[in-house]
Amino acid sequence: MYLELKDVKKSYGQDGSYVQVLKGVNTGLERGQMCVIQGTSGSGKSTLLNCIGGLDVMDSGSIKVDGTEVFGLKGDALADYRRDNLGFIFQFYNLVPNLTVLENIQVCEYLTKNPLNIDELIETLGLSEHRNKMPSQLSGGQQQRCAIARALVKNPKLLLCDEPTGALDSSTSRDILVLLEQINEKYGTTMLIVTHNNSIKNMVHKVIYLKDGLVKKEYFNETRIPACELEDL
Amino acid sequence: MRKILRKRIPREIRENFFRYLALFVMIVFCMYIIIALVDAAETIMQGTANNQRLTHAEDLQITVFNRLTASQISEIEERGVTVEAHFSFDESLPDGSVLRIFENREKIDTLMLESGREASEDNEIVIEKRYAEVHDLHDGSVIEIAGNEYIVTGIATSVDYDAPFRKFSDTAIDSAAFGTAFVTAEGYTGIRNSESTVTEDLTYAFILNGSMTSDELKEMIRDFPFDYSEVDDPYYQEMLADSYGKKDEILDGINELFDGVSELLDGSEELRDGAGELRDGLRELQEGTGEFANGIDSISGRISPYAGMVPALGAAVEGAREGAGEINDGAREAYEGSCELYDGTKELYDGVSELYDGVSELRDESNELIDRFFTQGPDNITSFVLREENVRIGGAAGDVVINKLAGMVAGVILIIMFTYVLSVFVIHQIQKESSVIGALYALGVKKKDLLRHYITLPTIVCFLGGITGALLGFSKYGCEWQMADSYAYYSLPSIEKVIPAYLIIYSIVMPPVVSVIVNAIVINKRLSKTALSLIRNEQKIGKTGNVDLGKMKYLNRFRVRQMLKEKRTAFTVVFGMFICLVILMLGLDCYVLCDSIGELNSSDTHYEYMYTYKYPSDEVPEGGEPCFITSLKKEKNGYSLDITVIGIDEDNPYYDVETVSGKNMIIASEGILTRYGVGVGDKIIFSDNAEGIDYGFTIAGTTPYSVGLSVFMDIDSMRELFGEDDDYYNVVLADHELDIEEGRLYSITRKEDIEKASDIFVDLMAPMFIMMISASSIIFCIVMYLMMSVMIDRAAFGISLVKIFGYRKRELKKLYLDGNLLVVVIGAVIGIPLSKMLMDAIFPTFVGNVACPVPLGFEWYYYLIIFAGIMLCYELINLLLTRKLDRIIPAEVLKNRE
Repeated sequence: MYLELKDVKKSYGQDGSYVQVLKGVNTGLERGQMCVIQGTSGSGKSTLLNCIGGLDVMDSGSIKVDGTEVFGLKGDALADYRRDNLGFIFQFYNLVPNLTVLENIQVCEYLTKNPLNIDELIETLGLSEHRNKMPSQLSGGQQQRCAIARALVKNPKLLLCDEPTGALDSSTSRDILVLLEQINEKYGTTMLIVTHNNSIKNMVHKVIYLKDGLVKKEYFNETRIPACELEDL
Repeated sequence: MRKILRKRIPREIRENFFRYLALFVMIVFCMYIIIALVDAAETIMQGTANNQRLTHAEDLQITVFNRLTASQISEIEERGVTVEAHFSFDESLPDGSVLRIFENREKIDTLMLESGREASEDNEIVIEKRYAEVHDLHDGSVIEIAGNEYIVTGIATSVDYDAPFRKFSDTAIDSAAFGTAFVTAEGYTGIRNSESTVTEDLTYAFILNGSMTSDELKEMIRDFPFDYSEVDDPYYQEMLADSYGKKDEILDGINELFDGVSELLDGSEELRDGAGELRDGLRELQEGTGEFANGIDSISGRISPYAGMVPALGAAVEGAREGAGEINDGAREAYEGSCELYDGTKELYDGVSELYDGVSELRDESNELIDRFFTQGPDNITSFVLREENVRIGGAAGDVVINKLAGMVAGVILIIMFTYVLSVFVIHQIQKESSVIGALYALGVKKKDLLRHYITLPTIVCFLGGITGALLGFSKYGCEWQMADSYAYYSLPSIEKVIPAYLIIYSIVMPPVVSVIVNAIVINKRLSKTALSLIRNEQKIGKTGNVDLGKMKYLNRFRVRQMLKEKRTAFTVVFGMFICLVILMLGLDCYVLCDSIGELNSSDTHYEYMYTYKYPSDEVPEGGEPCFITSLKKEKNGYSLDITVIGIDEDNPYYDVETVSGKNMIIASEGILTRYGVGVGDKIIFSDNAEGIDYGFTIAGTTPYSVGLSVFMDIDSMRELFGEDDDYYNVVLADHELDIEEGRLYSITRKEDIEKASDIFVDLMAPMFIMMISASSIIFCIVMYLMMSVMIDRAAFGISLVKIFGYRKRELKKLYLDGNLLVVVIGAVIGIPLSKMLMDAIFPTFVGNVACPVPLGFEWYYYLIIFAGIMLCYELINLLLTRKLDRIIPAEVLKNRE
C-alpha cells in the first residue's frame, strides 16, 4: 500500500479546552489512486491531511508513505520527506505574492533534480500568457492553476489537495478537476483531496468519510464519472 | 472606540515584548548618552561662567619687562580698572615636573579651594587640582621645592589655568609635567631668591570694569615712563647694552659725519676767500699792466718824431709797447680766470654750507630720534593676552560647546531612526490586520481613530524611553560620568550639576513628537486605502515589484524579489547602518587624529632639544641651529588659533622644508591648508593681536610638517619683515643638550616631552573611542536584528509555504537571509565612504579650538576592518535569525485559509 494510516490520533488544547480531533484513523491508498476525504466540519479531514503532509504532528499512530514512517520525522528529514514525496494544493492558492507565475513554479522546481518541463506545464495549464504576471494580476482560477503547476513541477508521488476548488466558481472548478484528472492519468500521481463538494467523489477511485475523528465509511467507485461531466460543482 | 482599541496596546506589547523592549532600551541608551553629553556640556559651560564671575576672572593679562610702579598702578586703578600682580616663575621639581609658583591672590582669578585652605605661612603651599591628582598630593602632603619643604594646605583651581597649558602654544595639557602652586608673598620671595630660580614672569591681570577698553589700557601702559635700567635681569641688561652699543655707534658716526662736513665747510670757505683774494690781486695786476702798457704807448708817442733819427730806439719802443700790450692781455685773462675760480669756490662753499646745514639737522634729528627710541622703547609690554584669546581660560567650556549642539542634533537623528524602526513594526502590524481595519472602516470607524491608535504605542515607547533616558542622563551615572572626562583633563573645580529647562523639555517632548511625525507620515498612506482594498488585503505591485529580471537564476530572482518587497525594511537597515557608521567614524576619527598627531609630531620632530630664548646671546651656541620663531593668530569659527611662523636657514637640518625668499612668502603646513581651506598661490592673513598688526602672506608651497599649525619662512626675509637684525634668532635647535644659561631662556622643549604629550591624547580619548565604537556596533546590531526579524515575520507565510514544499534549513537561509547580504554589502560599500566623508567634513569643527592639523586619513585596512566588522555583525545576526526561521512552522500557511 502506498499510503498506510494506522490508529492515527490527534488532539488539541489542554484540560478544559481539550479536543480529540482524530480518534484512531485507519485507512490506506494504493499508488496512482485518487481519493476524496469527506466529512462534516470538524470531522478531522483537514487535520488528517496535515498530519499526512507533516504540517501537523499526530499524537500517536503511524502514517507510512511509500514505506516511510512520517511520525517522528523532524528537521531536514521531514523536509526531505516533503520534497521527495509531496505536492500541496490549497484552497486559497497560497502563492508567493511578490513572485511571478513562473517564479512561483520555480520555487518547487528548485527542489528536484528531475523537474517536469516548466514550459510544457505552463502550456498544459493554460498559463502561457500569464507566466510573467504577479499573482495579484490573476483570477482565482488562474492562481489555482499556478498553484497546481507549482505542486506538480517536482513530479510528486502524492498530491495533497485541501479544498482545491473551495474558492472557485463552478466552471473554473471543473477546469481544475479536469486538470487534476489529466495529471493523475498522465503522471500516475496519487491524490488525496479534502473537499466539501459532494460531486467530486464521483470522479475519484476511493472515497473516505470521516465523522468525529473516525473513518465512518470508505469505498471504491466502481464507475468513475470523468471530471468534465461532473455536475453541481 | 479609542478606549476599546487602547486595550490592545498591552496585548501588543506582550505579543512583541522583546522587540519593544529592545527598542525601548535603545532609546533609553541613546537619550541617556545624549542627555548626559548635553547636560555635562551645559553644566561645564554654566559652571565655568559662574566660577569666572565668583573668582573675578581677568579680562586680560599683560606681561611686562619691569614691574609697574605703585603710582602707575594707582593711575590705572584711578581709571576704574582692577589690577593685580600675578608674578610667577617655574620651579623644576626632583621628579622632572615643573610647578609654576604664584603668590596668593586677592582680587583677580582668586582660588577655588577643593579642599583645605590657602597658604598662610611661608612654608605652606596650595597645589593646583590636576597636578595634585596626578602626583598624589593631598592636604598635609609635603613637597620639596628649591631644597625646602612645603606643606600642602589646600588643593585648588584658578580660572586663569583651567586648561593648565605650560605655554600658550602647547596643544596638550600634561599635568604630570606641569602644574601651578600658590604660596604666601614671603614664601614666594623666598623661593624666588633661591639659587635654582629662573626668570620671573611679570604678569598683571586686569578687570576693566567697563571703564576703558583693552587697547586703551595697553596704550596707557605703553605711555608710562619705562626705565629699562631698573630691570634687574642681567640678560635683559646685556640686551640693552647691545642696543646701546649700537646707539653710540650710530651717534658717533653721525657726529663724525658732522665734524667732517664742518671741516669741509671751513675749507671751502677758505678756498672761496683765497680765490677772492687771488681775483683781487689779478685785478690789480691787470690794472697795473694796463697802466704799464699805457705808459709805453705814451713814451712811444713822444719819441716817434725822433724815431727816424734813432731807428734802433724806435724799434725798441715799438717792441716794448707790443710787449706791454701782451702783458696786459695776459693779466686780464688771468683776472677773468680768477673771477671764474672765485665763483666756483663760492658755489662750492654754498653747497658745503647746505651740506653742513643738512648734516647738522641730521645730527639733531638723529639724536632726538635715538633718544626717544632708547628712552621710550624697548616697550615695557612683552605680551598682551585677552581672556577670549587665552587658551588657558575657559578651555573646558570651549571644548564642550560643540557637544551641546552636536548632541542635540544627534539625539533628533537617532530618535528619527528608532521611530522609523518602530514605524516598520506598525506597518507590519497594519498589513497583518488589513482585513480587520477594512472591516472597521466598513463599520464606520474613522481613519484618524486608527491612525491615533497605531501611533500610540510607538509614541509611548519613545516617550517612556526619552524620560527614562533623561533620568539616567541627569543622574550621577550620566552627566557626572560624562563630566569625568573633562575633570580628568582640565583643572576644574567641582561644579554643581545643572538641569536646564530646555533639556527637560527636549527629553520629554522631542521623542514623542518625532515619533508622532514620523509614524503619521509613514502610516497615513497605509491607512488611506479603501475599506474593500483593506479587506481583500490587496498588495499594490509597484514598478519595482514587477520589474523584469530577465534570465536571472532562480535563487537570485527570489532574493531580488524578496529584497524589493522589503525595500522599506532594507532602507531602514541601510539608514541605521549609516547612522551607526557616522558614530563609528566619529570615534575612529578621534582615534586617528590623536594617534596620528602623536606619531606625526614625533616623526616630524627631528631635534632633541629646542631652546626658546628670552634674551638670545650674540653668538649662536656651538652645535645649535638658530631659528626665528614667532606666533601669530588666525581666527576661524570663533576660535583664534596660534599660527607658528618659523624662520629657518636654507640648510637647517631639523626641518625638511625649502623656503622661498621674500618678506611675504611662506611655506604652509598641510594642516594650515586643510584647516583654512587655502592652497598654493593663495593669500592668507595672520594677525599680531598684541600689536594690532595684520600680516599678509602668499603661500608659495606646502610641507607635511604636522606639529601645530605652522608656516615656514626664509629666516632673512622673516627678520626683515619683523624688523629684526640680520643675525637675530630666538630659538636654537640641537640634537644634543647645549650649555645655555637658563636665565636667557623661556623654555626648553625636549623631543621626549612632545612624545609624552602626544600619548596623552590617545590615553585621554580612549574611553570615548571605545564608547563610540561599542555604541555604534550595538545600535547597528539591534537595528539590523529588529529589521531583519521584521522581514522574516513578514515573510513567515512564504517561509512556512516553502517549508511545506520541502525546503531545508540551509535552503531557507539562502532564500530569506542571504538576500540581505546584498543589502548589507551595498549599504556598507556606500555607507562606509559616505559616512567617512561626512564625518571628515564635520570633524574639524569639533576640534576647532585645538591648534593642530587634522589628519583624518585612514589606512586602507581600516576600511577593510570596518567592512569585516559589519559582516561579522551580519553573520551573528544571521545566526540568531536562523533560529527564528526554525521557529516558523509550516502550519502558518493554514492560518491564511480563513
